[in-house]
Amino acid sequence: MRALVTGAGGFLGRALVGELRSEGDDVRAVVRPSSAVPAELEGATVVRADLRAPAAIGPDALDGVDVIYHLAASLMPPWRSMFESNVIATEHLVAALASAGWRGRFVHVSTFSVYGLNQLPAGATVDEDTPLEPEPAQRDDYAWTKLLQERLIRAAAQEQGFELAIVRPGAVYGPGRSWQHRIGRQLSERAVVMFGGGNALPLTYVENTASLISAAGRHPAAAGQVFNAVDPAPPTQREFLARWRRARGGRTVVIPVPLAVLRAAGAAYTAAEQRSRGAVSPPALLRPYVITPTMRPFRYAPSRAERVLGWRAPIAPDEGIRRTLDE
Amino acid sequence: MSGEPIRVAVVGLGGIADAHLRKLRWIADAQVVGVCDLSASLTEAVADRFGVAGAYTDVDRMLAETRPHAVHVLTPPQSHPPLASAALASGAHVLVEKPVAVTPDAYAGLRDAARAAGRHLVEDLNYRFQRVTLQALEAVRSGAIGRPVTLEAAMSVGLASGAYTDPDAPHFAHRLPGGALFNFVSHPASIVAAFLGAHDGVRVARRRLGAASLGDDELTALVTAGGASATITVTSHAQPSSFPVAIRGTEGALAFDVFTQRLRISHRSGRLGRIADDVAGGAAAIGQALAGAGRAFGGRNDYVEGLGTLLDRFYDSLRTGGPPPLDPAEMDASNALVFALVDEANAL
Repeated sequence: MRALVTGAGGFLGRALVGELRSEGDDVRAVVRPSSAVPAELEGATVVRADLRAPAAIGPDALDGVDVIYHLAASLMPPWRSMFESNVIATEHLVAALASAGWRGRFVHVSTFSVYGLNQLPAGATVDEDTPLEPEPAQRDDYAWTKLLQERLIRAAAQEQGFELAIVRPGAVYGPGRSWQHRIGRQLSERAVVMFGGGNALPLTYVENTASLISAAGRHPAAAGQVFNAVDPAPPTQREFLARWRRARGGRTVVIPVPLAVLRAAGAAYTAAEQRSRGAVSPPALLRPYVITPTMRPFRYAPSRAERVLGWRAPIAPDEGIRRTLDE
Repeated sequence: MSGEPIRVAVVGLGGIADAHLRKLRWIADAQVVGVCDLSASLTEAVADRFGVAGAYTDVDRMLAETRPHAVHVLTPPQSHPPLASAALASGAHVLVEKPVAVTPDAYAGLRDAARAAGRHLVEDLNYRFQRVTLQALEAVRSGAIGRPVTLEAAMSVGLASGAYTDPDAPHFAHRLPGGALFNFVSHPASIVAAFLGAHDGVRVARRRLGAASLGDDELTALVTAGGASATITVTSHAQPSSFPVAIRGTEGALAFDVFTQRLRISHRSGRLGRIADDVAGGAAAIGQALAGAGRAFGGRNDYVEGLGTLLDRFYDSLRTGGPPPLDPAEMDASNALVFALVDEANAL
């Protein structure tokens, strides 16, 4: 198969290119013009393009492509830069598909953040049927732009008649990316803040995520489906942090902050915002609607991919954590 | 316009539009009725984010359908003249981002069009309206340091990182006639114009351009104005970002930083006077340090604090029919200095 991968130079993109290459695919890896080409892309054809520019992807790049894996995205503030990288870039990509008359399988890599988690009670199970966020503009900028992106792609798939499969990963981790913002914040090399502690982390090991995305691109039954990517039996924040600390020689100080403290600080900031006519602005972290989705305890159903595609995660969760933290 | 909301439209939804739209939320009778940009998805997203009913990609259509009392023109400066002219012709007052225009003729054309239409044309010289700048102006105008003799304005901005250095998506400022620093030089020029008035002489002493002009501009200039002399420096090399201004007068001196909003005035003479100045300065420094800590933890965004004051005064002037917050003669002086600086810099 011939595959085009956007965001190929990123953490997940590199793993996906490796996975597709191991399946024998002919891979075109889209990398920004000024970025270095990572060693993991060896064997793939590098396509230099910045999707933020109109017509960055021409008909040549799409020629003979069976599957497009759309991973290009940005988490970097401010929101406009996320908007350009996540929404405008996608707008340009689907416009390129329309003008080329492309009809193949489009695998869109979305995120858990698109679910309406504020509306779910604590302890609820999150699966692919969980309703999407009803108040996107209230959420954090990443969730908001990823929701807009998903809406855009669904509309394009319907209008242009290409097949769509959506993969929504939880928290992707692996060697080189061990910290999870759902735990809290790293203050320095030696100190971290942990918000809460007892919530399960929806971890998905990077190779497992890449394997599921690849399956969504090649399995006939994946068309029109959504698949969450989350490893079974996820550890709690406290359990993961204990292993994370141990792997770093146990020298990191953990400062636990109960969620009630965050909520009280958020309420104080909101009051100050009113009093100061907006001169004081609470950080996103302290806006209740932003923080709740990552801080409320949820359960995570096994991926629909197991049932529909017969897919199995190649790496056991414990092994993923060991490779990430201990090697 | 009493009792009726002031209808506001915004053209150009780049980064600075957020600051304007956030501030507009707190102006009770201002109602943003339309936002406009070339990208439909960006326009819809901004309308959604800020609760604006009208999302447009055609400015003429927005002006016709929303009939705004005021239009904020926030696009790259090359496009200000046609957009601001259209807004003025529709009967709206205009608040325009700096610089107003990229040529003296385009600037004069807009200013004259506003005058002929009987509408305000106000440039967003936000640092001219920072609390500390207004305090310093009040001190100088009340004679606290006598007649100003010298002024130094040194602006250090973070051009060397972030949006200005993304080679895959070049910032519009690199295409300005004076390069990226043309996007900043209005600020020190506005300080010189506010404190000293119109310039009568300009010499650019040094101009440095980095590789491909990416975030590496620097300019140093000598200016004479109102019988005083001024030095202006704009650089991206000195970090962290700061904007210190020092003014020495015939009877004292003052110094302030536009970004950190710290002000110190020394105007007493004699040994005891100097001690009193030192004690007062120390007490002020402690107070300002505490206020700075409050800002750091308070999520306070000082760099647009002056924009809030400017907008409050702009909308006050629309409500009352009073004069604009920025005297047109002062805006002329500030822009004339900008054009002179760019001409001199480009001649080097």
